Amino acid sequence: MQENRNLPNDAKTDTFFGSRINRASVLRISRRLTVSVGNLFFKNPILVGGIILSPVISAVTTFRSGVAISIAVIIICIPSIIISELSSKYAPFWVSAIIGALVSALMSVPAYKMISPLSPDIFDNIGIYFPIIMLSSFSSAFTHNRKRRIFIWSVTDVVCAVCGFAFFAILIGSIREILAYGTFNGKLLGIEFKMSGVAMPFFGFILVGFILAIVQKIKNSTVFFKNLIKRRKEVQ
Amino acid sequence: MNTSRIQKKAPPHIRTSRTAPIILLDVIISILPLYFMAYIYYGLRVIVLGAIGALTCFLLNLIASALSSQKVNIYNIAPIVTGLLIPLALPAAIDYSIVICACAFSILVVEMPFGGCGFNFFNPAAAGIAFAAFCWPTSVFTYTEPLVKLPVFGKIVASSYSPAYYLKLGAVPKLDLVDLLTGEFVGPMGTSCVFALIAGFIFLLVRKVINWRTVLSYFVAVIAMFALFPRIHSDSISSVLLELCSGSVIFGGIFMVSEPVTAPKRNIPKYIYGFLIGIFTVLFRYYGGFEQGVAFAVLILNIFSPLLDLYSEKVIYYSRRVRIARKPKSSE
Repeated sequence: MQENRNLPNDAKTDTFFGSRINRASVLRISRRLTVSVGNLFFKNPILVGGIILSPVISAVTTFRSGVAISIAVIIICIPSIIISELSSKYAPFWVSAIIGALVSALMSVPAYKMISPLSPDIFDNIGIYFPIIMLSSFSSAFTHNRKRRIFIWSVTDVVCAVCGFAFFAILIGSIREILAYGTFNGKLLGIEFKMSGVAMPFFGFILVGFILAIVQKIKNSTVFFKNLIKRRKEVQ
Repeated sequence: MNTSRIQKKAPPHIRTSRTAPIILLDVIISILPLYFMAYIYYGLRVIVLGAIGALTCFLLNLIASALSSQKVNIYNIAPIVTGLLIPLALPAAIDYSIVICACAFSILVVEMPFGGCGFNFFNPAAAGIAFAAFCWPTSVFTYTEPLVKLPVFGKIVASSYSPAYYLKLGAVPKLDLVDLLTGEFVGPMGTSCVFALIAGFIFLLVRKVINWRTVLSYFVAVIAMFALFPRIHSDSISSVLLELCSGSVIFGGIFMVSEPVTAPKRNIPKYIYGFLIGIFTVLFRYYGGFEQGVAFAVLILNIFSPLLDLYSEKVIYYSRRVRIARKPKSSE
């Protein structure tokens, strides 16, 4: 209802190309969709939230490790958040949070099985922090938001956030692999000048910081993104 | 009320003849003897290395200032000081690209994102040296023999190790005292000549560019640690002399520890800061992965520098309150 109030008057009554769906609902959906898509960058778990930062910094040093950790996040987070969102309709908030945590702990087993062949050393790099980080930060970031009561939008938000995470994890992994080892996906690129320090955690922090700065610069300067932020504020 | 004397301009309102460019120029003058000695030992290549470092830092500072909408000041010579200091802690045979990368790191990552000269949290020269050590440890810690003139262009194969490396292995390097003091041994190109370092130190001290408190406490800590916990089977004096002169300990103490921007501003924290850097330097040398440790120690203590200032203020404030409370009230 609050979203309808912000719409123009004609939009509340018009039909959408003669269909039964009125223009107001289309506008509302498009606005909400832009908010979800904004999760790719502006509400991205790595860049803005700063969560799940430690595995990216410590473990994502190659393209493959970036892909591996993205797959792990997809496997663990999407089911756990969906189930916790569903359970929140029928149970108190604290119960749904525990359910989400339990599901993510359960899903870390198949995630481990799936990504071990792809990147065998990723679990050695992050060790016990992997399930802990999954439980504490990512899932709680979505379950704690009491405003999102519509299930489909919660799922869309999670999917977009996970996609954003995957994009930046793979980007960071690729940059670090090229600079540190002179390879991409394990293939030699013929670069002789290598910087082994790039694979160290300190450079991960620096790289994430610079990417964040670039994203903020784009966010502040581009008109499209300004409108996107405006819509986000209107909806929220 | 006459308000014509009220200044409406932005601070600083008190100006002296000792401006930032003059102070930086003093630092450059104190560096020159080190380059001169390095030139005698290794030839023209060291001058080219210094010029490349200074030019890289200067140009990148201008570019970064322009990109970040800061005032582009072509008279800012702070990046030149950074660019001259970084090659001094590296071998004379080092690749030019490594020097460029180290300088670029110090300016683009350490200095400019925090607001440029005077606002940096970390010592840019120490960060550049640490970055080079992390990324190219083989190139940074293998040296050529002194008094062998190196070609300016072309790849040079360095295969000698510094006395600091042998000390790390537990061996006692055979070095004459005169060689130790004049720097005629394998090592970084500008950190081994103790005479030139002392000359620069005295010059900076006389010109009041550096604060003696930080440097004194640093050297006290370093000497005490080397004397009390020697890692070689030798007497304390030999241990102290070898450890002090074999690496970048003196160089770091004079040019990195005492940097006024990153060091604490109050006097008592200055003592603590220097002392802790000294202890960390020795710990890094003894237990770290590399033979040199002063750059890493400086970077670690840079983080705590504002905290030292803050807590010292609190301690001073509470101690004053306690003193006032204990003071007997004068009876009328």
